[in-house]
Amino acid sequence: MTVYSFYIFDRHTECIYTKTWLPQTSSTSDGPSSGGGGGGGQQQQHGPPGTSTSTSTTTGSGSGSGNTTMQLRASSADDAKLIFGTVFSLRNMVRKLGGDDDAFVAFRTAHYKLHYYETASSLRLVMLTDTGTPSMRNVLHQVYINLWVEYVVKNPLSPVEHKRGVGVKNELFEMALDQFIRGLM
Amino acid sequence: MASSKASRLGEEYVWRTRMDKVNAELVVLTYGAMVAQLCKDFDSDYVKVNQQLDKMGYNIGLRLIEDYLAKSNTFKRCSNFRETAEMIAKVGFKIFLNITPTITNWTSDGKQFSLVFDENPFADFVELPDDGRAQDELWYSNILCGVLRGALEMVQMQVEAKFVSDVLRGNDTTEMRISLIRYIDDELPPEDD
Amino acid sequence: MDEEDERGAVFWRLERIGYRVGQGLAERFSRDRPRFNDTLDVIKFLCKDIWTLVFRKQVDNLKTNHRGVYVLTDNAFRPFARMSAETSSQTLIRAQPFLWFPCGIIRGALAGLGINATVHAETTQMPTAIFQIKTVPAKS
Repeated sequence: MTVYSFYIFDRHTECIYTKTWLPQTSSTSDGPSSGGGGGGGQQQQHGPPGTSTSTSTTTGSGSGSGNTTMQLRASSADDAKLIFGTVFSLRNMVRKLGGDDDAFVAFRTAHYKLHYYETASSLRLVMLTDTGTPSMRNVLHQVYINLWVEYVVKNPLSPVEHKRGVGVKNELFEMALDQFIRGLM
Repeated sequence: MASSKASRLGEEYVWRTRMDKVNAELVVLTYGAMVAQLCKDFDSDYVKVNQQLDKMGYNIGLRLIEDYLAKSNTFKRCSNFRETAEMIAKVGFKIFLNITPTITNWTSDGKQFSLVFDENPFADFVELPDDGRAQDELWYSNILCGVLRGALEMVQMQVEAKFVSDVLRGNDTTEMRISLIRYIDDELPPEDD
Repeated sequence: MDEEDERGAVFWRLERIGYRVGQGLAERFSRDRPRFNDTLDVIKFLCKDIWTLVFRKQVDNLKTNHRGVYVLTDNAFRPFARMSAETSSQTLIRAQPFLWFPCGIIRGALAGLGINATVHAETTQMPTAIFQIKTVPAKS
């Protein structure tokens, strides 16, 4: 199982957290050639599956394109917007067709699988993994109750609303999340 | 059916996590000292004290709902306001204050009900200031109204919550009235490019 | 109101609320126990009984210079359990105001047990909190 990236969107539809996991083998070059901000080592040089490659939302045929390790581009604000727009539409469509109790859970392309989890408080968690990963619904639920609630909501230094992600990116949450996700891989 | 399910959820939770309890005296003392400080800060303008308590509760409610959802293992929204009332009384109050207020006085449209508190952990042995006004103006436990308002807003219900009687004022009961104003729609992403 | 004043006002309020709580706790929970022999006895009551009531654990370490100064160290201070900012240094700075209410509790509890004191607190590493109590000799 490989986890590529993780996003949190709040009830105002704002992306308040993103994190990407570099494949552990990727010490290809240290030269940060891409021009993004010098964030915490979160940018990658490899062309990812993003929009350029031929991903489509129809359920892909598995590993048709060989074992290319999917790598994500530095998750830009645009990616987050695109992802939210997509999952929000899918969620709405699912509810329309299947009733309010139905929930959009995941979709898969040739290169990745996107997992979705929404809480009753309209917090939306999105995780991108490799295509072979089984349902991450329980994992996302655990992230919510054990990490989000414990390290963000119960953190006295964290504000109630997280405009531009304020309060989410704290040391304890980052550490706990990274540990939890790496423990799965 | 929803009712018995709600009670079971509440009981089960309290049973499961006995350790995480705050001393009752500490709660009474801390809440009391805080209200006393507010009365002093607002020069015994109890209308303002009520508002401030409600506001503090609201900010607590916005956060507390997440802990409620996590602890009660709630995935789905309630299917109607009656179910919401059950969950508030039998799960919410049970989990956080270990009390179960009685649900009563429904309006026929199912949009308003009362919670009647036989016990109130904030108000044990409390006496209101003896200035001839607090008895008529101060809603001592008003923080609870704010908590419900904030918590329910997070799960897309706009409500009004207010006390209509309080044993501390010499009334026979302590009763909070809760009215559903509307269900809040999902917020939509901004439509730029 | 500038930032300094506001900080002062917040400190004053939180400390005062804590003081009332501490006083109340001391009154209610010292009743059923034998009389205290000396100041150290009271401080121990604070470190064990009161601390457990409020923070659900005891103070980890108590030091005194035997001249009225007591230093209490709690290595896992409950209010700090989930406290975290983007960097450790930010966390330490922003944690400071959360020590004011506990300072008030200590001062109030001691006052309730007949000891006047000043209390200062600091943290240099999460989740440790260090409280310094200086007793004020009663004027006579």
